Amino acid sequence: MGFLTVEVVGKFESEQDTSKLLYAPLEQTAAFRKSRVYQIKYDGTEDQASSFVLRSLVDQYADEVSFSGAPYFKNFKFFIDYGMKPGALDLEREAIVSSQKDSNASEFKLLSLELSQRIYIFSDTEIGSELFVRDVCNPAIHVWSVTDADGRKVA
Amino acid sequence: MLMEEKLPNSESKSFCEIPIRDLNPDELFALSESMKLSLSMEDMIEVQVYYASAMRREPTDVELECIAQTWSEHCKHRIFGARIEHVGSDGEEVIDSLFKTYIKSVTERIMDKKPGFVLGCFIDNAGFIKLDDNQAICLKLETHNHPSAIEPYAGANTGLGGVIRDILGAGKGAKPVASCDIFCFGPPDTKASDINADDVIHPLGIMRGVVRGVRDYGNRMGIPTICGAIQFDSSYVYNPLVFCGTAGTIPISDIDKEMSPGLKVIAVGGRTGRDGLKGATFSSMALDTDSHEEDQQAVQIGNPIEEKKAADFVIEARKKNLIEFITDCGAGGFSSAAGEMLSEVGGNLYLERAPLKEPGMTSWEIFLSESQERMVLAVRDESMEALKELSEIYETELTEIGDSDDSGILKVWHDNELVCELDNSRLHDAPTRRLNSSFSVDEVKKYELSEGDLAADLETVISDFAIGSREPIIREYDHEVQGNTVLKPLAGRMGDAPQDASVVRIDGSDHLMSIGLSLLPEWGKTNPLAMGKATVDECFRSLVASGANPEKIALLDNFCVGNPEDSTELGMLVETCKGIAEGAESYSAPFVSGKDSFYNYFETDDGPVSIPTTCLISGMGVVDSASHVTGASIRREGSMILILGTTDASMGGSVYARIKGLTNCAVPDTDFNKALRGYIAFHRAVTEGLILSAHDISEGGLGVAIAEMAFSQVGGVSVDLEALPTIGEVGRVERLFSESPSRILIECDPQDLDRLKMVLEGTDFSVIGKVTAGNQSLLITSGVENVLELEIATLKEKWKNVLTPYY
Repeated sequence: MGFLTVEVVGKFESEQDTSKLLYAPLEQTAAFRKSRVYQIKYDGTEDQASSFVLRSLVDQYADEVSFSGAPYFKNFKFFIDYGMKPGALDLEREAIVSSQKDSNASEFKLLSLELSQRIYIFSDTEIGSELFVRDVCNPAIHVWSVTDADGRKVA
Repeated sequence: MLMEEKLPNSESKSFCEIPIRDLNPDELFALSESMKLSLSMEDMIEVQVYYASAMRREPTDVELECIAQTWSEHCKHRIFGARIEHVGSDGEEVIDSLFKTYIKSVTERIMDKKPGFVLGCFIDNAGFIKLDDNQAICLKLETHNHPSAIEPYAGANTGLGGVIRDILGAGKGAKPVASCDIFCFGPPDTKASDINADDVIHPLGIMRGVVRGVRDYGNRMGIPTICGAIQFDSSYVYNPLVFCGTAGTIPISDIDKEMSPGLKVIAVGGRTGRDGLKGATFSSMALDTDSHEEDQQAVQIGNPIEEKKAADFVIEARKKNLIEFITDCGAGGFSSAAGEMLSEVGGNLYLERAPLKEPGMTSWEIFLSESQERMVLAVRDESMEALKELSEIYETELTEIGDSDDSGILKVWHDNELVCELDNSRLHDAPTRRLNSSFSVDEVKKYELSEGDLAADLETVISDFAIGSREPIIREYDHEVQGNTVLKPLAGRMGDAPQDASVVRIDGSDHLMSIGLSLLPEWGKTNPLAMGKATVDECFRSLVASGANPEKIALLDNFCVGNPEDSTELGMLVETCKGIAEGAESYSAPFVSGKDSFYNYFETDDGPVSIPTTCLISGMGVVDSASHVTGASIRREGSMILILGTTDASMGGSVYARIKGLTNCAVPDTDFNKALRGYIAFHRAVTEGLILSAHDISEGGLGVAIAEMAFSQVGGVSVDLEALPTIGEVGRVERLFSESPSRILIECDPQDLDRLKMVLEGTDFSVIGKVTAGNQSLLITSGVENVLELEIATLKEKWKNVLTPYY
């Protein structure tokens, strides 16, 4: 059984003002970038897993991908990972799992798949995560965590 | 009795028996609360009597949940069916059912006067009117308020998905051709500190989620979203409103459908899961801060691609005459679909056959799941092969889940155990509710309106959230797909000027369909009776202004109310109903469908906050010829500007009054007889080709309407306020900003002016201005005196950028 953490970033996206994320403008200046994080448990070889990722989860023209497990971007203040609650219907996950079930590759088996959206916050000044968690994450359907620049989970 | 032979054993995990026969009333009500049935004590007593005397056994959990769904406000409209003792504009009276008194009977009288126009109403999933000798058009609007407050994207997403399915389930399968959406949000600039409750999503988050949710369903299904409206008010902060509507077409011969014994019942489309459980009962309850955590399951999750495949299957199956009866799985899921199909003829449903999203679902979960994208059909056995072939072509799952017989009893099985047996001949309708209501209009205040800087006032009004351009949101929606949209939400020479109604071509017909809408909640805060009248008038007017034949218009009523157990709020609803009934009957525009949503109030830290009584009147009209389609943007330099209709000094409900803090002003009344004379004459002018463009005067008044017409930037516009036909003393402020109903601004070619005057003779109209060449300014005069002069481009810039900082 193998584990893989994959982060996918849109090549043509760029930093955007956090006012697009928040309900009210911040006093400080801040920007954000988004990515998608997939945590995969599988049976098979690492090459087969990578091949699955590149085939099913990454657009070869529009995306860049990292298999290192480390955050893709640097110099962020923190990032938020949020995804659907266990038991809630995640259509993207459903589509991926269904397509894998239908595939003819018998040696590679997807055992589990967790998806999350990641938002990196960049700012020259100190900035808290509370407002972002409040405005981005919906307690009705999401679970989330906040990781600081030192790699510590702070929420 | 079959059930007595098959009492569930203690090891059965899929369903269970719920003892109720020996409970006292308080215990019955406590049971309803613990199971979240939303049934009152009276309801529970009725259920107890049924099981004690008629069935002589305890109910199963499936049966109780099914009854709860069926008797819920969302499904049964019990407020609209209640017996109400009311004190209002007509003194003391007893109203036996708002629906029968103000909606159904009005329509029945109109149908007697206009036989053959309404082809179906109040029974099927949508109401139908005749388009031409072969085709009918239909329209349905629904709300999805509570789910959108909890999870705006998914709630709105599935709100549109649900109403599209309503059209697919109308007749033997109507084809969806256009959608509309109407939203009521808190102001997007609301300070977070002003929200007095935890876990309430900020209005900006609601707006973004809702707009994107509707976008991602309609666009992906290839159904154009062609019209809409947004209202902003602080009382919608806690209870946003989301109305979604879809229009469809169907051959007249395919409208009637009938169940009979010996049919197969099949499910088509998506699978059944735990998402959306108890959606109907959730919709019938008020929200509080715990709603977000506890009621997450009640938010359905949408999959438009799945619904598109099911839709294509249904339309093709109907064309091949393979469908005997069809309905959608909406509120209550299989329970309501099966209930609709099998409750009169009788039949069986086998839950273990339903394709599931996840294993281990109990009987009631499968039966009541509101998972989306599911249609239920009744078909002949000999049609099954052809249907299976179609399901493979359209890649949609088809499963036989039951059959109809002639027993008159709905029987639901799960793994050979009978989990639900409902004999509708012995289970009576939900008890009629008895309510009290009252409403009286407060004493009207008179204000001496000083003119001040009218130019600045016009700029302020046009920059208000109520008036500003909705373009950032409109552009999210594909209004071109299917290639039939003739009059789009934004048009004019620059393609960005607002239109009144929208018009779509209907394949196979020379006639077109117009869709219009109106809601005026600000009016209703002061005078709900006047609001009801004016809302019908505005919807009707917008349809006529776009080219619809005033003889061929039908209406839908959709109500959202706060707390119906508050006698004043209920009284406002009663008064509104009186107003809309008078309007519909005066215009011979029948109601063909409608819905209501109650308990739109929120328990904040400072007490409950209700929404204002919100009445959306939408309508569909037949445009007899493409040459009648009329836009709302000025088209030519040198053309003349006329006004049809009179202006009075009533400022109540106006945007100007709200901005200036003028409370309890007189709200304008609607003179339906005069208005109808004007609309009929207007239409005649349209058919003679005398109208270049026309724009109805609504929120913001004349100043805003003439500016909006001028946004095509064809030329300057000059208008003389003194030329307006008026009733009584009307000052300049009122002439500019009053929202007197029933008025249309008309652009006509100077060569057609004399003929137009002849056609409009006998109505209240006058020439008030013209389109000027060589400049781009809006000049408002009062006789020889200039009242204001503004650059149209500057005004338009302000109007265009009201929502851009927020979306």
